Amino acid sequence: MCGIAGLISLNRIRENGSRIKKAIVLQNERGNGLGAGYGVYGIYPGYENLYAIHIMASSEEAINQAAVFIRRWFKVQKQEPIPVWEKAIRDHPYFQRFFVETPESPALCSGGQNEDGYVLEKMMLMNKEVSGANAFSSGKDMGVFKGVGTPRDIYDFFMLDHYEGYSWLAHNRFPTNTPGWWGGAHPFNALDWSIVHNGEISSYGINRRYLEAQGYFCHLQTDSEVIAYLFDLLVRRHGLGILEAAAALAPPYWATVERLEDSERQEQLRLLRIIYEPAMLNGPFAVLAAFSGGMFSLTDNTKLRPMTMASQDDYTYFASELSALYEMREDLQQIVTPRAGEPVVALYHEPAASGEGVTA
Amino acid sequence: MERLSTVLDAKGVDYRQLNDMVRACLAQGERHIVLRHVRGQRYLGAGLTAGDLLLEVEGVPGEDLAFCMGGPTIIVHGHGQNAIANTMDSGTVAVHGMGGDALAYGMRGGRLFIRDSVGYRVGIHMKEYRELKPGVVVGGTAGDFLGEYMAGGTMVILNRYNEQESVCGQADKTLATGIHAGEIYIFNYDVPGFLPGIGARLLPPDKADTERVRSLVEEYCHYFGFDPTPLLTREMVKIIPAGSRPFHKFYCSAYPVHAGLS
Repeated sequence: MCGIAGLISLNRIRENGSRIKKAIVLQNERGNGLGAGYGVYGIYPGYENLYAIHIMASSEEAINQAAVFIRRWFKVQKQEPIPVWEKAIRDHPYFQRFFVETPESPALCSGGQNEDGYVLEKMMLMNKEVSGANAFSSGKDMGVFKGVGTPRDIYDFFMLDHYEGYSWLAHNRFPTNTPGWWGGAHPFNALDWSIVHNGEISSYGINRRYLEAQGYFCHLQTDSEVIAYLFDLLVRRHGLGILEAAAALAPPYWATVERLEDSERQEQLRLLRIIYEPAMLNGPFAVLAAFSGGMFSLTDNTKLRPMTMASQDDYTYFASELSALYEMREDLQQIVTPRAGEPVVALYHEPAASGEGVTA
Repeated sequence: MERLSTVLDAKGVDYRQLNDMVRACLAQGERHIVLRHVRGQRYLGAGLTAGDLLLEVEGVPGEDLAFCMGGPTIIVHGHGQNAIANTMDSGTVAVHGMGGDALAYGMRGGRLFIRDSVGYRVGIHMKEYRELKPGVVVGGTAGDFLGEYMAGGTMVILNRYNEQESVCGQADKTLATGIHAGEIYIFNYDVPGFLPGIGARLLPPDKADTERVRSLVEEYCHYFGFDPTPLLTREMVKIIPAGSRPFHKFYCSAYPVHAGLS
């Protein structure tokens, strides 16, 4: 029974984490202190065109090896420790962040893929090869901050009062089938994709085999990470829209598809389900996903996990429990509980200055 | 002598402490308690048995409101969350807003009135025993798995805004799947043939049904200040079990009793 909260300013107005903190701390009972995390977009002005790579490592030695690895494959513009407040959590890994560019020399890029593909490939390679180090955030102008602790602990530990972003994700973890460790906390990230998840992915085995055949490396000992990689695969690499990707991951029942009167839509859903059968997520889930174009929620098609949302004055708010929505805004006029399997998409009005267009 | 009500400010108070405060007031003989600024605190009213207690909740109470409650009346001035009236025995809960998922789960008696719509899995395993018959009235619409494995009681989906889509779920064979006792009434909606689940049968209501529903709807309207007459003049359909053992044939073929094991 994890807890989820999210907020997004559709006009990209930045704010610090105090509102999202209230919303996730209110849902403290949904976790057990073994994992919490935040994802925030728009936090690195001045570096928005650089990939911000966050590394956690079990030793300084591992940090150094990660730095060697990153310097081998990237042009590093800046390297610094991620500031932490140790009084919040005394026993913690080492954190370091790198602002990097991909090399200009095309010879370094394998298979002629684009910059994003190059970055993700190297992150996967690092997580595989550099023992004790883990790149857990790799997007531009965004960052994931997560670890073992309550939502309040993790917020204070990373001092998120000092960051300002225009969309925030938060998660409170109640680990069930997998260990509660720093890398297993949510959000899970792949480039600009971050996801938080409440539930369990029973189809993890087939999803993982499918992803690994496509070059993804599932190393975090938890089912939820496949969701981030699946969105990266379906939207960035295959070019699907958000609604198409959502229909592939949480397809309607066959019976519902058969009954549709719109034959074009029917055929589209059939094709998505057939093509993306190994990408389909089975099991109970409520997911909140953020990316460079906005934020959206998705639940399983039997609605086995809760999700509520509200939109007001160019802001959209999401939370597992509707009381938490009011923590982000007191005077909400209308609360919506999305139907089973129905994605709720909130896109920024304008693309980021450096951003690429994404369609719903 | 009329008692004054006790007002407790729940702002920022942990749910355990808030429930302790309510129980302490009860022990002192208070019978009208108002909780202000409630936000997500769980288990309010859980296990309380004082039949003359009126608990007013201002704000949004958390999960499991009135869990195993036996007697009190709870009025919520705000929306409700999930699992309201879970295994409730008796008493009344009225929510001036919407309700979440899994309401009235295993409810055994009393009344639950939700002014607006509710989520998925409402009334699963509701049951009855002799004079204990739970009643649920939902003002708006409900999601899939309404009354799944229902074993007693009466549930009314009032459909106040006369929606014509997804009034009692939208996925195939989820409505009242496995119902083996109890009854569900849906107002002003032509229930599509694909919705009812195994063991559910649709019938027009008879006179006794109409009277029972009228009494429940009037009680609902009393809490929210609506006029019951225009609501009750609309058509309704009754959903009851086709038999008392809905899965009798379903399991027989799959797991023959005489498999040579005994």
